[in-house]
Amino acid sequence: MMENQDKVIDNLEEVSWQYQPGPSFRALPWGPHRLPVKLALDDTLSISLEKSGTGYLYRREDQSGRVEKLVQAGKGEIYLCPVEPFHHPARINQHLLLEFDQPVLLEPRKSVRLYLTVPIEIAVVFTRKRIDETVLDVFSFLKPKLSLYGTVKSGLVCRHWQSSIHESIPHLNPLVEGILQLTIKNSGNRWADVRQAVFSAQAMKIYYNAQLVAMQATMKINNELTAETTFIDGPLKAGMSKAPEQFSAKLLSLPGRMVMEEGY
Amino acid sequence: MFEWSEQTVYGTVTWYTLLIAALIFLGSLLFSKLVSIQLRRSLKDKLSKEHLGMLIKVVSYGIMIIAILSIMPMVGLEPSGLMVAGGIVALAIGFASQSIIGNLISGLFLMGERPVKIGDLVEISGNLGTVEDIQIISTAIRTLDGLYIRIPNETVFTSSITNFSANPVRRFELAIGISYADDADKAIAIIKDIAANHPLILINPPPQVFVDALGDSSVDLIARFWSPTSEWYNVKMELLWKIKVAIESEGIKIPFPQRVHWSGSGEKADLPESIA
Repeated sequence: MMENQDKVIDNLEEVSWQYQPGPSFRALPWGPHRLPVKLALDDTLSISLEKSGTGYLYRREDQSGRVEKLVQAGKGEIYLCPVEPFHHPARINQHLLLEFDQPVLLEPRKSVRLYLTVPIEIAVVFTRKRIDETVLDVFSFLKPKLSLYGTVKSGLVCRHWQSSIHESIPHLNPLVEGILQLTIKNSGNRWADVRQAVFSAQAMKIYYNAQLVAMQATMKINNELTAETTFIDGPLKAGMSKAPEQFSAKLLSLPGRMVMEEGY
Repeated sequence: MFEWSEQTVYGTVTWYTLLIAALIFLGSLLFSKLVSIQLRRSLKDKLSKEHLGMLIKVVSYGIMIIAILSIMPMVGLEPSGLMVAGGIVALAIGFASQSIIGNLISGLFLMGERPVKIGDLVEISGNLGTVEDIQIISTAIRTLDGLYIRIPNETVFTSSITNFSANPVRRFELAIGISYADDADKAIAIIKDIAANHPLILINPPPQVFVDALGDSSVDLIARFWSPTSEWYNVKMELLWKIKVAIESEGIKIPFPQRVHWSGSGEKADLPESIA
């Protein structure tokens, strides 16, 4: 197994990181990293940005193959950050459907706070300090899967995720999964049997630190068939950084909240 | 003070009536502009850019035509006289432009009904292609071979239209035959596993894989998968070969069509009971 280690050889910064299950593991090296740099993550994936001619050669290698890009830029740094899980497959879905691994039965006029696992993708961002930044690549350790929410005529194609429910924050590999603190409020007059939640990509507010990727959302159940989900823009823990939004509601002029009209 | 306004300009037309006519014209121009702005604001999310532009033109031209007809008597022109004179011309033009008017009205109905929109993959009167433009008179599609076809809107309106892009997802079907000696359950499990690992095959609606028929040469399996409408054809092209390779690698045979011939010269004991 690869050891967690950092070293600098011939000006090349080499960083290796391995997730160790449990309450404490070495801080994830999100960055920023000076160039040239080589990052080896979880035994299976490596990223490097090495000098090539007048620019840099970006290279990502994992089990699915190799991605290479020429980056023509002067001085800069790279950093990693979690982003919304909608880049793979690209341009198809902009909604996330979380299917609960167990149904939640909620009495009328009651609310509950739960922690659910959510898939994330990782962006490699090239930054020229105080000038600008650009996303070089987005990758994921997860196999994406799609599902239809609603009817064939008017439903939504969503990124599907079988989400496990926890009553406190579980320990997860921050490169793979994040935590969603979901407050479900049953505003209806009947018991609610909640089995899934659908969220809009345009509203995901992801915060992260060296050991946790987290977001917060609410789910308001209006009646037997409809519910509303909205992300909350705020960190789950103090000191967490906000990830850049790749699907900004403001940029796309789309509503951030999601009205689930086909059941929950 | 305003005696000049009573002075005639020509015939019975005075400066006053000319002024009123000009004010009505300018007022109508302003009114049509305001209506256009209001329509643009209120319908920009409900109608496509092309349809909205067309609707705004029709409404603003309509307002101006009504305004012009109403001020014509003020400036000494009788619309009734024009109508009589124009009637014959209109009749001639009407006959000549019958198909144009038909296409135009069909175009307006198509804009209301909206069975297709720009970018949709459609089949209209036997032409399969992507809708490139919808005009008031005709609809343009680009076939999958890259050919440009202009279809009159009357044809579009009266033909049956298949819109392959109308729904967000669609189902496709693959037929796989395996030999009678092989385990169909095993083959079904392999195909379902391929579907489960493919990112563009939907979890819900779930894939269906089952024995459809006991064919002449093979046990015929049918696999049905749902995929996003924009991706289904690529997935279909990719999947059949993947399934073939996967089930053959597990020792399951895909048989050739075969027929057993029994010759009359053989021993009776060699023949099947039903023939013997």
